[in-house]
This record gives sequence, structure tokens and C-alpha cells, in this order.
Amino acid sequence: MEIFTYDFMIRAFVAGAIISIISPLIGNFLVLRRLSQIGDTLSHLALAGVAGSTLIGIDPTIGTVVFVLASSLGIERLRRAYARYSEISMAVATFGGMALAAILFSLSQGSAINIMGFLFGSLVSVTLNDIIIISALGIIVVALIFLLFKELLFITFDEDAAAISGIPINAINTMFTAMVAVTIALSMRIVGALLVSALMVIPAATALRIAKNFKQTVAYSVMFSVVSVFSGIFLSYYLDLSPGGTIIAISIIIMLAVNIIKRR
Amino acid sequence: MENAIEVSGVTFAYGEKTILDNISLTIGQGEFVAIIGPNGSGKSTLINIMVGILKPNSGSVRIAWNNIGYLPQRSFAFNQAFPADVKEVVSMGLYAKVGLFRRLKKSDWEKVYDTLKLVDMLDYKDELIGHLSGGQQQRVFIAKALVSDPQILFLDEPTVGVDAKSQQALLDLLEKLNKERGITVVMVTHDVWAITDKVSRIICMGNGHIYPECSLDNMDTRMLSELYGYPVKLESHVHRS
Repeated sequence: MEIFTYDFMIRAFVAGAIISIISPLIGNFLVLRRLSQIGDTLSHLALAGVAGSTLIGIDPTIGTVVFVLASSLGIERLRRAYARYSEISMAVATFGGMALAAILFSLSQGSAINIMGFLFGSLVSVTLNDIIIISALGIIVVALIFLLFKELLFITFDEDAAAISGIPINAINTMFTAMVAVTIALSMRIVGALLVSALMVIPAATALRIAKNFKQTVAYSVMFSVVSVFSGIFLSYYLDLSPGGTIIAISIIIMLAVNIIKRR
Repeated sequence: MENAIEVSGVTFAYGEKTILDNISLTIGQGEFVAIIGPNGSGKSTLINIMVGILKPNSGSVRIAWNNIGYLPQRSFAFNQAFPADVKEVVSMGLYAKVGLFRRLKKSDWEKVYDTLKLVDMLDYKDELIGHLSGGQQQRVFIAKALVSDPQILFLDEPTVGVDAKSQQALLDLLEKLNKERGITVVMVTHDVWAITDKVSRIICMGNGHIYPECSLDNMDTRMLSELYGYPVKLESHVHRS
């Protein structure tokens, strides 16, 4: 197939494969903890990370990972301070991220930054360096989810009960927030900052409709995500569409189809 | 009989409001104790201090064993649409014991199934937790509290939110666990009528104090009315000998 004769498309598929697995893995826990908003918040901060990296001349993927990671730990502290109003920390960080991104982008005017690519995703902008970073960090995220799966499940089901039973919830919550940050920073290269949290939320929401236990929920969500990302990359290449928009549109179509079938 | 729990001079206050005022009590191994009293009497605070969720302002609690089971009052407060099945929920009771980064072994899952059998819920192991009735869910949560083989089981208002038949079945189960397995059971309840024929002792609480004169042997309408602060009619009072 012609599509596989281009190096940039091979890179796009490799990056797509990794983010299509890590996004729903993280997304399941976010959705069930009613923290879907955090994906959106961190993606706004990721934009500021891209702008800041460009301004100081470092690799935008590495810069964004570091910036979002640091911001996520700040949000976690804010979340603890406003334990009963966790949405406050999200709102403050979202507005702060957008404000900072706007300032930094205006300061870096004249540089060759592809703002549209970071906003809506891009197939051509994924470099070999990105692939190395996405693969390394993606494997770490998958490994951590696998190793902390039962603790994350318990904390998601009942955080207080998990704490009483002796599970170190603060350490695991911090680690989880860091994993969310890394996933956002990696996924925005393909899906775009504005749609990155959708890839976390929609496959998980779709899986919830048909799963009969938690492991099935995770398996279905990854399956829906992989199908959305791969078919989205194909379609966006052949139809010259935004990859992020196409991937998310397909995931929504899958969600609607599952809901219609489930209703029958 | 050795003591399972020793509470010595425990005082607890939220700001200026004293909830527990110099509480001391002991609970022996193998006892089935109900802590009763009206809302706001401090009984849930006391059990939260016993299990270590709250730290007292002064005084101490000594528990004979580290391995305790706890069924909190808000067990039903979980997301009823959560996609976990019954066996997954019960297995959570083993996670801390199994340890970080480790997976449950076959023997752990056998323990989960044995505990579900003990509470008569094995047939429901693959059901989503949210699809069960309140009484069935309560049994699953008791299994979750029991699966790590605790020597003491603490329950905070376990009969709230379940129908009368399920309440009776739940109390029968607790009696069975206490008598047949020797588990010390400490239960907070405001439902004094349901428990008098099951428990070996009651501890009456009101306004942050223990009423020493209140016991199974002399519990009567006057005593309960004084404890609850309004006229209480005791319809049946049968306790085990």
C-alpha cells in the first residue's frame, strides 16, 4: 500500500499504536473517578509547554512532558487543598494554561512552530526523535498501569476504603497524575491538544456500556481506541483530513453504534 | 478472656465541639458487641478512632491484632454504575495484604470464592456489583472485609439501607461468623430492636459518653428513652443467655 511507503506515515502509525493503548488505559480511571476534566486541563497546559519549549529552543515533546508533569504535580497539591471542590483546581489550571500558552506563543512569533499541528494533530510532524520518546515513555506508562492495576482499581472504586486498607493512595495518586501528564504530552502530537482528552474519555465511555467487569472495560476501551486511531490515520491520509478530528469522529461513531446496538 | 480492644481515656473534638469525652472501654476476644445510641452520640466517631481513621485528641486505642476488617457506614456510597463484578470487589480486600506491584495468585482467588461462599454470594461472583440489591451488596462488602481473615470485624451501621429480611439475614451471618469462626464483631447501630437477640453485649452512647448502667440485662423503655432523648417503646427484648 502506498501509505506505507512514506517514512512519516510509518512513524505516525507507530506513535498512533502507542497512544491508542495508553490513552484509554489512563482514560478508564479518569472517567470512573469523574476526573475526565483533568485531560482537558493538562492539554491546555501542554500547549503552554509547546510554546515554552519553542521559545527556549528545546525539543517540544520533551519540553511539554516536563512542563505538564510539573504542572500536574501542582494540580495534585491544589486538588488536595480543595479536596471537596476538585473542579476548582482543574479550572484554575485550564485558564492558567491557556493564558500562559497565549503569552508564550505571542513571545515566540516568528518561529516556525506549527500551531495548528499541535492544536488538531499532525501526521507529518512526528519525528524519529518523537518516536523514541513516545515509545520509551509509553512503555513506562503501560508497565506502571500493569504493576499498579489493582491499587488503581481500588482507589478508583473507593479511595477512602483503599486508604484505610493501607494502600499508599497519595503516592499512587501522584504517580497516576504524572502518567496522565505524560500521556497527554505524547498523544497531542497525533491527536492534537484540543482533542487529546477525547481519546482518553470516549473509548472508556463506550466500553462502559458493554463491559461485564473492570478488566473487560479496559480491554474494550483499548480495542475501540486502536480501531479509532488506525482507521483515523488511514482516512485522514487518503481524505486529507485533520488526524485528530478524524480519529475522534470515528470514536464517537463507534460509541453511538455501541449505544444503538445496546439499546436493542 | 483476653481483650481484643482497649480504649483508654479517648477524647475527640471537632473544633470546640466535644464528640467523645474521656471514653474508656474494653472488648474481649470473641465478643459480639453493639454500640448503640442516637444520631450524633459519637458512636461512629468512636469506631472510626478504633479502626484508625481518626486520631483522638487524647487517650489511646489498643487492638490485639493488626488484621482487622472494616465495613464503613458509606459502603453504599460507591458509584452504582461502576463496572466491577462481585469477585473483583471482594478481591480488593486482599490488595493491601498481597502488596504493591504483585498480582493476585490462584490461592488468593480461591480465598475470594471461599469468602463469597461463606456469605452465600458465590453464585453472583460474575455479576456487576451495581446490579445487586442493597442486602446482596452488603454481603459482598462483608465478604470484602472478611477475605483477609481478620480477627476483628468492625461494622458501622451495616443494616442501614437494606430491607427487614436482608437485615435479619445479615445479623444471622454476623452471629455465625462470631460463633463459628470466633471473629470478634463490633457493630455500630441505631437499630436497637434488631440486635438484642444476637449480640453478647451492648454499649450505649449518648452525648459523647458511655451509659454504664445501660446493658442487655436492664435495657428497658425508660433507659432507651433517656438515651435517645425521646419516648422509645421496646417491643421485644430477647437476648441470648
